Amino acid sequence: MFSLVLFNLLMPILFLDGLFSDMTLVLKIFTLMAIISYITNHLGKGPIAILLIAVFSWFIIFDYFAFFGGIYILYMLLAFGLTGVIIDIFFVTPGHGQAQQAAGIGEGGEPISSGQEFMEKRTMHPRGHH
Amino acid sequence: MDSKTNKARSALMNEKGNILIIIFIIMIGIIILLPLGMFAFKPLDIIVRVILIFVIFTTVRGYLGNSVITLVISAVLIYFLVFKWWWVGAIGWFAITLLGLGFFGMVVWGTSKIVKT
Repeated sequence: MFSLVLFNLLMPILFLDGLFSDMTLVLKIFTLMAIISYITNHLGKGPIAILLIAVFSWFIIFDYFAFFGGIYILYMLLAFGLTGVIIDIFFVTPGHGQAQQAAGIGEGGEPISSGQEFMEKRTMHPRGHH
Repeated sequence: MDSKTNKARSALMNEKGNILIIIFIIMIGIIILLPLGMFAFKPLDIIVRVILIFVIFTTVRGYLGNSVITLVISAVLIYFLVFKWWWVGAIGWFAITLLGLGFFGMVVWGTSKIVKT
């Protein structure tokens, strides 16, 4: 019984064995392709370009990959539009129902769809003046 | 709970304190649907693997052009992302596609409308 439980606990770990190293290799390949593409687009395929590819690859992929790998992941996430989701989360979500409350109208009721409706609701719930 | 803590919580979450968690769970649930579907239905598995092969080869060709090295690098990436770790490749491709289409913005907006504060 104990061995069965242990086997079931260990299976996911065994199943994921090697995932990190393989994904690191995949990420390095993508980074290398990005370097090659960037330099050949700017300098062509001459000896200077090859030299620069070698130097950049050495620093980025082999020497400081722990740093540049994270930067590359962040760059790709931003390029794929993660900022839009972050903006949605931090601007759409906290504004839920606050616009009406700030105007002194309703509390979590139906959204206002026209200026006329806004004025009607405002006259129904006037804000207090001191 | 004092008012400062309440304000800090309401800056990111609703009164129940769970809207962000719900949004992330829905996002992850949607992304995981594809590998689960691939696991359950063989035709979907084959179709997605073929799409992944096309996507990987097109991406590598876009970076390196038409050459032998493109075929070699494509083969390595296809082995890792389509055959060995197919679910990672499927999740990554699906997430990138949904991000590019702006689908998660709709999820965030829809969740904030549906979840009661």
